[in-house]
Amino acid sequence: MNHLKMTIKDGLTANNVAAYQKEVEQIFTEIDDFNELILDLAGNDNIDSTGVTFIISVFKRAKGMEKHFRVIGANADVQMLFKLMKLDQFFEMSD
Amino acid sequence: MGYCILIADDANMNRMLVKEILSQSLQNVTFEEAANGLEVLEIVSKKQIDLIMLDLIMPKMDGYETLKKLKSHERSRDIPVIVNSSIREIASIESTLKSGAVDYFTKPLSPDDMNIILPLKAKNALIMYEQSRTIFELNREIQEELKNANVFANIMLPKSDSFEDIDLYIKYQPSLGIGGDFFDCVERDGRVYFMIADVTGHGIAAGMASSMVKILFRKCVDHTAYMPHEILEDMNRAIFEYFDFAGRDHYFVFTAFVGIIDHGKLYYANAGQPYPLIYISSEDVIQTIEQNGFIVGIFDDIAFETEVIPFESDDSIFLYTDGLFCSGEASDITAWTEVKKVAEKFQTMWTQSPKDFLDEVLYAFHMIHKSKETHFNDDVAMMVLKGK
Repeated sequence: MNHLKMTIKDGLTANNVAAYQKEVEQIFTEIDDFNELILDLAGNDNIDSTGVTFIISVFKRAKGMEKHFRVIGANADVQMLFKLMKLDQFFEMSD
Repeated sequence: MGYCILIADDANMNRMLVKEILSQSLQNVTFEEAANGLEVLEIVSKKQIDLIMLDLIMPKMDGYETLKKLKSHERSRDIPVIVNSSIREIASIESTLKSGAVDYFTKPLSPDDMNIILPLKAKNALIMYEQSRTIFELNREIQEELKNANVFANIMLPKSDSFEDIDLYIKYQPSLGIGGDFFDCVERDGRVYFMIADVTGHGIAAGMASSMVKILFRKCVDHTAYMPHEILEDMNRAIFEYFDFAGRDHYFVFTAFVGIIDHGKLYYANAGQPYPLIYISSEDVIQTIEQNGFIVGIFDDIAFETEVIPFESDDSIFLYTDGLFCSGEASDITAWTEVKKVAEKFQTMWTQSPKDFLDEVLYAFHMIHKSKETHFNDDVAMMVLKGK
């Protein structure tokens, strides 16, 4: 399986989401030879509700294009937040 | 519209010279003249002045005092002032620039000053002042709009109230005058329906979305046979049915906790809200109501669950949105455990005076944020429902 990894370096918050959206747009419109999109949150320790909906929108976009989607490197707090919202039932989270 | 420049100098010749220099290089400019500081203040109080060329040595009121008075009045404090004086001491230059003058020229003006530098600096000062006035006016209009929107948002929210079986206490602090947090409480056929919700983001767009949430919630409550999970499912379905932006990006997604109090029971369903707290009077303890659930508005085919616990007459529930404990710091996003600690600290107040309890909780988190050098950066909504 071909993986494509997108790394979140700055906080996944309202201020930064627009820039990440552009990156996602570029990935989905310009790159085709991947089966799985991996979102790497290891360098990120800050997320807000806009960040959560950003992740959901990326997941839905990937699903719509029949790509796998996985989140890696999320710290314990972020994982707990995703579980509160039952997002762990939609996509895999791993270290 | 043209600019008006006020030239203040006790020597008529100097005023003529500056007027000549500026009128040659600036278009669409008119001039006012003053021979001392008192005349400057008089003209400024009556006319729209866009730039002041100010001499320092003048009779009646000198330029230093005039400058201080100009800067101390709201009407004149932003008018740019360029000093044009024969005083060359650095202390004078430092003093006037510190008092708010934008530039300082010394007389007699050099040919370069007259032909190039003074006209350009005057032009720049005029443009800057015009831009700052435009920004100020825009900001005033936005503030006015926010004020109107806030009045409307407050009309939509329930007021602290007393129902047959419960008393309702609320506290709401929007981050931008209007916000995306929403709560409601209504009694129908002896059942008390309530919801607390948090629309993604904050500000005007979130405020608009939260007004739609209220309509959806009230529409669902009219189905008096509905349980909380059905209310959430119906609202979720309605979003996808009514709005073609549903589920895309960040337009209309919200977390919510819906409850029904009916004959000594609390039925509830959670859609991603931080865990509410319940005070159980018979045991004199505070517990979290822990249930996870999907966020509303992201998928059109999701199911929620209703759970039920006893709710006796002296029990009470405390609901809050994440704006209370989130300040944008990493560890804050799941810090609802802090809310329980604070609630336990003020447990007696919660049971005896819920209104004061809400004030204390907000103040406690204000102090927690302050100690971390952060602050509330999202809407905060809290409500207590106390059985009676």
